[in-house]
Amino acid sequence: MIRIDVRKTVAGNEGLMTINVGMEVATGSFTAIYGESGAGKTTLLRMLAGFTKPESGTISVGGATWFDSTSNTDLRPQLRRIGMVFQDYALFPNMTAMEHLHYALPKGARPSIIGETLKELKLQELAGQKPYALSGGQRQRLALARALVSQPKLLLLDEPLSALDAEMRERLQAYIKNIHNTRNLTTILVSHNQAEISAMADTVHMMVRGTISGRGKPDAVFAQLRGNAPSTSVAGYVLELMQTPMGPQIRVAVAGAEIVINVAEGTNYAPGDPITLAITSG
Amino acid sequence: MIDLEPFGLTLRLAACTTLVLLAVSLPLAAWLAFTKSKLRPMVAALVSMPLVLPPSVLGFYFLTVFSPGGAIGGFLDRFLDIRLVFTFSGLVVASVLYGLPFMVQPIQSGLASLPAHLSEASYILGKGRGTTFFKVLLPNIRPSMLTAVVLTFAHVIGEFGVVLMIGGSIPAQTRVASIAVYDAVEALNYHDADVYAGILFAASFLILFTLYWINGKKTVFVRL
Repeated sequence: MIRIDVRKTVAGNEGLMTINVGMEVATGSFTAIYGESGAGKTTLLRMLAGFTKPESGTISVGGATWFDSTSNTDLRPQLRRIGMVFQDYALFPNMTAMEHLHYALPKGARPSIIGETLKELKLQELAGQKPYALSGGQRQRLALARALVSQPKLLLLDEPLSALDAEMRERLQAYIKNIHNTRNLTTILVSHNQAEISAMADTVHMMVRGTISGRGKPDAVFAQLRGNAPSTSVAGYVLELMQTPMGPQIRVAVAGAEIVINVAEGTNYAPGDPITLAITSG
Repeated sequence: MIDLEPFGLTLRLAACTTLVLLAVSLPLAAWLAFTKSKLRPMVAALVSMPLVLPPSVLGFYFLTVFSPGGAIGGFLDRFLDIRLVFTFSGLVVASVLYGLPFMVQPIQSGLASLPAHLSEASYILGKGRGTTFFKVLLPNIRPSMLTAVVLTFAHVIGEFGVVLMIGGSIPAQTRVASIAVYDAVEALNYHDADVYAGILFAASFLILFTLYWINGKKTVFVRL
């Protein structure tokens, strides 16, 4: 289990913003953090990786304390055994694909994992190529391969597919999901793409202005989110207010049709009252 | 017959100074590029001082500090039998101080221009600062490294004021090419002065032309 309880004030798009996050991530799960740009998702991921220091709080992973502001514990990124795929991939321009993987191989690890990973991510043909000669999708696969060769327990993905076209994105979603399953990883994905999260994650935490505002299965969370955000509205008028065994209802004429809607107890509608209905895509 | 010894001495001085400066400047440039210390502006200003300070000022302080009657010079002379004033070693030390900004600044700007993600990607793979610096950061600032090394080398070849102040003109010891030009003019030997000056001019041009030609062919770091 990964337990995160951190606070930090950062400069955001709209002035200072306090990141105040308490969340748990189950070992072996594929968890997503969803939010708009500037919600603090990447900062949260960087705190987990050890690149950004929280002002206060704790981060513990599998019982080991990685960060604890009260005891001044702050484990270096080198010791956290994390695999990370950065949004811009952060490949090393001076190294070929093969050199990336040799560089990432931990001391004492079996070198055959390099060949296996190249094969798994279909990079064998590109082993001698440097990043500038690779396409966006190939760079993304190399970044993923580099993270996997380091044999992490925890894989962090920071908007890893945002720079790719839709077809490549879908193909890589399947790769990543498959690798997550076969390698028994705990994966945390940061994304602002609902379809991407629905395709890969078991659980999503929704982040709004530095705090987690909701969590659950991706489809349920996003359906609820869409319900809160009307996509269009139509005007109509009330035909009649009815008292039924299910509570008060109104019959409404709207867009040439009649519909019946449950309304709250005590509401006072009269025939002819104008009404606006919000229609959502969920 | 033209005495070519000053050119040999000049090349030896430039090579020694460049090597020492490279060793000194790598950690210093890295510190200046990445530190958040409040001392940074002060250190950066000190490193850049030779760009604006007259060589005679540096030479004067060098004489004051390193002459056998000076604080450090006296100690070196008495306990280690080392003399820096009017010796080749002294020229190297002074050239290192005077050439510091030419080596430090290109390396510092090269390192500062690299995205932070490069070091972070290396750290997360378990690599320490040293490995990351030599295997990831330095190889990706090759044009800056080349600029630093060549500019420093060329600058030492063209040094005059500092060398004159602390080295004088001792043949085979401190009489470098720029001093040889000066001596020849003083002696009204315009023929030798012309030859020395011509060789210095051509060598300096060739070095700088090679630098710009190579760096022009290479792509500077491309953000992927």
